[in-house]
Amino acid sequence: MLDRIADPRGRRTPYGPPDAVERLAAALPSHMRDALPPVIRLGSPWPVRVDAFTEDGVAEPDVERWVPAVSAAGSNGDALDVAVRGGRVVGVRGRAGDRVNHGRLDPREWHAWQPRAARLTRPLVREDGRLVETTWDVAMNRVAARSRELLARPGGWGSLAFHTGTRLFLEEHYTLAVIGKAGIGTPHMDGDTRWGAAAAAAALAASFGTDGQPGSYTDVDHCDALALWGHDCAATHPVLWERMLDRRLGSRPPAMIATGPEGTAGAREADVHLAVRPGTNVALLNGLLHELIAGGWYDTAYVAAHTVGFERLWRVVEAYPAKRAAEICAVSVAQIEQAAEILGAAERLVSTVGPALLGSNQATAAACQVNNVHLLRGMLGRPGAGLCQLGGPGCDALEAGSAADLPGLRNWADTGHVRELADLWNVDPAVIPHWGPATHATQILRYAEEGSVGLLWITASDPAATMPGLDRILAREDLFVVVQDPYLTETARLADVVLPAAVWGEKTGTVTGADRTVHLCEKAVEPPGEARADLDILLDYARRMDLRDRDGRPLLRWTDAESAFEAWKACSRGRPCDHTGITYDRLRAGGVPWPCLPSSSHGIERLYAGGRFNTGPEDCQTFGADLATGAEYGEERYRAENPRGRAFLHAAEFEPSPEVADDEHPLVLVTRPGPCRFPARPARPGDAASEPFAAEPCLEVHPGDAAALGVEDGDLVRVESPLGALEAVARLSGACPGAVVLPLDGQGEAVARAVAELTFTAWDPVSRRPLCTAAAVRLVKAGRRGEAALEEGLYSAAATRLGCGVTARPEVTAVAGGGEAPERYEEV
Amino acid sequence: MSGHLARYLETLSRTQHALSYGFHTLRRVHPRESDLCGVCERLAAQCRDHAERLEPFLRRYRSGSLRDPRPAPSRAPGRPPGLEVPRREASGFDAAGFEGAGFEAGAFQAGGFDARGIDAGGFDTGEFDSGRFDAGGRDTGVLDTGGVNTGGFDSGSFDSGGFDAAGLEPADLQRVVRGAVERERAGAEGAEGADSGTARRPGVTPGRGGGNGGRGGGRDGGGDGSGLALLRDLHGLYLLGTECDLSWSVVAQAARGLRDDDLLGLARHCAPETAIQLLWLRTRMHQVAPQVLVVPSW
Repeated sequence: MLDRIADPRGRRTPYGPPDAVERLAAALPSHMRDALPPVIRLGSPWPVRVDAFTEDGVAEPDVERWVPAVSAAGSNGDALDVAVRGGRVVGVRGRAGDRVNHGRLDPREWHAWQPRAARLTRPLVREDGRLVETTWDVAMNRVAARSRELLARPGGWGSLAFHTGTRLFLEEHYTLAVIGKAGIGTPHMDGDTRWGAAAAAAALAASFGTDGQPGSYTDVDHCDALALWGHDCAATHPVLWERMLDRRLGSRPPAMIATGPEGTAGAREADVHLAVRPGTNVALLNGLLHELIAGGWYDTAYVAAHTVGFERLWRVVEAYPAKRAAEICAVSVAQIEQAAEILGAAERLVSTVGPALLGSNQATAAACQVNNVHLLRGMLGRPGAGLCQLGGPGCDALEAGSAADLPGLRNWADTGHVRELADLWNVDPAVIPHWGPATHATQILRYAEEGSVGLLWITASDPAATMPGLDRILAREDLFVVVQDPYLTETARLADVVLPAAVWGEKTGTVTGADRTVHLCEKAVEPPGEARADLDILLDYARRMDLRDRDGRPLLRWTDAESAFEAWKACSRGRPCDHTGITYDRLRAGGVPWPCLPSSSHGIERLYAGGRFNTGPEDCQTFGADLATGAEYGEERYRAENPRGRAFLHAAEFEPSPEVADDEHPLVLVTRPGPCRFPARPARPGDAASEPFAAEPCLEVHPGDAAALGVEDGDLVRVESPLGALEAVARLSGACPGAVVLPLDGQGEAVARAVAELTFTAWDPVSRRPLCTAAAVRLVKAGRRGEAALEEGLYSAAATRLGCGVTARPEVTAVAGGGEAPERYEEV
Repeated sequence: MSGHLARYLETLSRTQHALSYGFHTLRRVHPRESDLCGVCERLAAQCRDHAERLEPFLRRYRSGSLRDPRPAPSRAPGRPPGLEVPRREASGFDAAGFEGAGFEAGAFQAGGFDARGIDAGGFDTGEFDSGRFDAGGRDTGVLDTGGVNTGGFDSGSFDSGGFDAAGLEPADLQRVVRGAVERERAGAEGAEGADSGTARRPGVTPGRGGGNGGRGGGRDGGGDGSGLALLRDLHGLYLLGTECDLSWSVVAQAARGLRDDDLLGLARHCAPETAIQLLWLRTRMHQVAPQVLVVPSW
């Protein structure tokens, strides 16, 4: 079978690392770099290769305008230009001069941008149980009236909740944050980032004081070793993967380590591949840290000067010699030693931590151990020494505060930070919810279920499509659901008010990519019908709610994207994510990473140069939590142990995953998100089936396991966990023994949901994220090759939950692809 | 003197078992609070481990001599030692949760379900009948002879008759606790059947629709107070946890006085873990409290 990931469409452009002088130059602050003689190349040596995808029958000369925009396919933040002809988006082209992608595009990019049918064009409200079209006035007044009614009661702030997706712009996230946190004063704001980027953010904040990727993609140019921790880079960050591959094919290629299931492009490419048993990442990393420390492969001076907690870390990892780690993780001792050697010998190490690690057992603890590798080796803050925790899209939500944290990476428990915000917004500090940790997404839905949340506003997200049982909650009589989305999603079908929103390309705003690079995404075409930009909808709501500050002036004093960005800049001032040096004009010339002060218009590529971290009690984003339970340590203890700008080496014991295999269920089911499942958002009705990668549902079984069960390639097998069952066609491939892998590429949301039903919901206590990536299962042969009628058999049994008393879900409906409209909402 | 220590350690051991059971029960009666998943099981195992590690010291000091000449059995970290005394039915903690009947010494009533709890309408089934736990799970002879009611908390109160066994002055304790109870009652009027004379059932209030009964069937009803039940359960466990916390610090003092390095090591191992348990309970309570206490349900 042709592997389109390992062999992508574009040609390879091998390159070697910059020389030592250029590396030194890259380490200089930007104003000094500007003063260097032009003979020293400052840019990345990665060759430019411009990718373009256009609608069939449209050639580049036919395009009327090219409008700057940002990748909508993932969280990489690739810069691109959108082709417009006749008021329509007809293609995308990578931007050659951009620091992130050098012209390349994610193969999914066009799929993400192509105009779709079935857009919402008018607001809908529920009348007599049916959604009917109406005007903006009616819809918005209904939302505002209900909000006011709820807010009028004592404790009314706690009745309003916001769940936000990752498809908003920074300006919109910030506007929503101000509405929620200063206007209404609700702690119930969270969103899809909780299920993606939250573990990465939690680990970064735990180790370094605040969120923010320490590294930069340009570190790949300089590095001599690459480590992919549970990161199927080819699938989740294809452009970054091409950069890595090009380095591997050029002169002086970096060594590569990969962990995670076999079968990924990274696993095939890596020099050392550690196919650890699912859920044992902490044991592996503890073993590697043991090797590094015991072998003396760590920077004693850096550790002494810039970290705290080394003794405790050693006390814990001392118990994980390679032999023990190898036993726990089901890999060979030699592999662990080889990996440790690569990590220990590297002079410039780049690590990327992917969703597989950040979504499995002990997610935050494991991610912290990767941070520890870099801290021990002093691999931070210089060219080639980079670390990226790539949990998923939505950095903007985390920075701007529309998710659980306060805007500007501020600490809710720090009264100084709360006062800063209160002064900025000119509101009473008591309004800003800081009396406890903000409510996480699962808890918000729980409150909605219990009935204490009366209004749930879901923006640009479709949680009902992926969360089993949510439809029952959203359908409650006493819960008023507002859905703001471009499409009539499954969630929207359950709403009381549906607000039609614009998609990217129909509105202006900025987006922050995974390496902190901010890009401008400009409006190219008009939204269809009466659909509006999310920013306009939120500003309209604030107006109707008459949200005011202490002096009676409107709370939101901005009217468009650019003025909203200026407001955000004021909020970010002095914080680690300082945007004050960025302007829309500057962004039109190309992406800029934060922090960026007015004095340096380039932004700072790498955080923590010189080993200075944001861990001072006045700077940090969190006062710390116990990695095993999530218990918060509190300000007093933090101040007592003042780390004074040093980073934390957090130690964690390996805890077996609750879903580890046993005799009853000897295999472990893991899923592999495929290249066609949008990390940015779940599949939606109206999305075309991802044509280039469409695949029949199959289950990768190790030939050894299959032989024991008498399963042959192509047989229909049933996977049973204590919670349910799922049927699929077995493919005997080189998967890890003891693990069955369900690739989700090309699969509809129905399969994704069936899998969610099947797996246990474990919990990462620090990032408060549900983990449903692995389940102990048994495999039963359900039919011979070719004889089963797959369409009926598939995932029909998935809904039966045993022993939980939950009513079986109604039959899930797979969304037919092909880009036609889904069945129209007949009620309208 | 060391007889007192033995009794004190016994009380601590029982309290640890009770706390362990309490964590298990918390998880079980609030099945819809997904963030309890994993953490409760972990903390319960930790408490049980604490109690099991105490066993050799119970034997050492029960014998009456101040310093047992035998060294404490060395053990690998994390592994409880092999116990010679009739061992508590470890299988009581099976994967599915705690099985009430299998539990004896550690019962301490923490798992008893308070029929006078706030959600009184919801659990009149046999499953939640406190009498069952009373009869099956609790070693009344040990626990209730003192009859000291330290229940400073309405539904989450715990009966710590064990204080008596530990040689504390029951009258003083009673006075202090009575005061606390009365203060609370002054605030919360109408706590049905609250009577300081009766040994009150502690522990965990059944949440809505546990997997094991209650109103299991139709549980998509409105505001049902399960948030309040959770808050109170956490509150109760916190009080139980503080008792362990305090006890460990006292045990550490005693160990220093006895120059018993093993016991001191144990206290040093267990005290921080107990402190984390308290922090966790506090964190979780802080999360839930404003919403439950302030925000009206619809």
